[in-house]
Amino acid sequence: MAYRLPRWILSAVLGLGVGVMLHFALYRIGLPIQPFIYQAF
Amino acid sequence: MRQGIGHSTSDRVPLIDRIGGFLSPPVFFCAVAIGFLSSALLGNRSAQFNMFRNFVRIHQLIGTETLFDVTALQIHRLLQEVPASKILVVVGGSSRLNGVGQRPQELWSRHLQERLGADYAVVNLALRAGAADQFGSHAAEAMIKAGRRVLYIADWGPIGFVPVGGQRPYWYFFYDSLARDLLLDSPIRDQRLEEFESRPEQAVTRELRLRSRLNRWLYFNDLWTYAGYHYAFFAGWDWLISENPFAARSTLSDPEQAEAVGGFYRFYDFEQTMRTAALFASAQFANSFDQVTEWGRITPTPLRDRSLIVWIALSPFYTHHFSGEDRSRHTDNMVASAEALRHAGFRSIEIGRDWAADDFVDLVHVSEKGGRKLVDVVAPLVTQMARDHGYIQ
Repeated sequence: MAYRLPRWILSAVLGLGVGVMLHFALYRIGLPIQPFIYQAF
Repeated sequence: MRQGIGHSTSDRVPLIDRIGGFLSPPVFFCAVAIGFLSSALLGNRSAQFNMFRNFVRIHQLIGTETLFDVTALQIHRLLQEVPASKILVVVGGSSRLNGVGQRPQELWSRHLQERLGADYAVVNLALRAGAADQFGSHAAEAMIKAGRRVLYIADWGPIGFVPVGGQRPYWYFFYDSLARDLLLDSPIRDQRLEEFESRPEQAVTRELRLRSRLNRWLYFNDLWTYAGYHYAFFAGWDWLISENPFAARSTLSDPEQAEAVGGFYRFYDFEQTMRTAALFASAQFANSFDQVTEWGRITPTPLRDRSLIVWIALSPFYTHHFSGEDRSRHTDNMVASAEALRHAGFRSIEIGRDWAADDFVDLVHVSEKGGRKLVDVVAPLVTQMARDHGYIQ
């Protein structure tokens, strides 16, 4: 099949990126949208 | 559909579909799984060693204030790096022991380390807007559980007690420690936590617990915090890091580099601060002692036995303006607070009633000069505790 190797490479690169982004998303959704502001008293 | 010369846009296949059509689904989904699992594996590897460089304290740029939530395992590795031959002195509590108003090179805990000597290792884990029952106490617990010789010092006062599990903004650290099985057994705490989480409005804490359990196996918090510390941080923006929002946090130095000459008094509204000070001199202040009793009850005995809780007075810059009655009540409240802490099972001391205004930088925070006085009081007590626990002869 034509372009098989480029297809696999593109699929692998995009897939790896999506996998890493999913992992990062699990981290990011745990953080608040805005940081808390420290007030001494 | 053709409309004269050329094609309508509706005839075009969207780019995303064209890319999708070009992809190989089996390869793509295998790669997604590999990317995700590799990240988890990298997170696991990153959490095997101490990530910090020249750790002094958790300052604003490596703290929750700038969306940088150091994980329980990262703090655990930091403490594990202390040689087992040393007595580990974990400092917890609020911004007062964190050293707000003190430069890192003149930080009170550094002087405490110098005073105690090479047999001890003092690690300052106190936090801005933190409290004695948070973060540092969990880290100390973990090291006691690991069989290390640990003493815990914290201050009690401005923040007060919050039910276990609800200690914003550092609650993530408790759940992280819990999920990683770092904490000592405390059936009463477990019971209180169950009661707290069962409240309908506490869905967010149940979610936090679930996320912490996921993180135990997938290490997403550990990996991306590690990456943010060593390489680049891109999880969020905050005005404190606005000059360099993506910088690796390890390259950003503690922002408190200037000596607070004359303190910060002029930055605060006097009348408003006096109203805050008056709370410490009120008759209702004693109501907080029930919280102290509760804190003692849920704290695991090995940690409670190794704890020194310091109650620091308010700055005389304000208390000198109290009426005679208020001043007397403030003193009584301080003495009673320390007594309540002792009654709850902690070793406790109240200090600072005879300090000067320049021993503070504002109502509650201790200056570098005051920090030396703090060391003068705390160091002998730490040595005594070490002796009492058989750590030294």
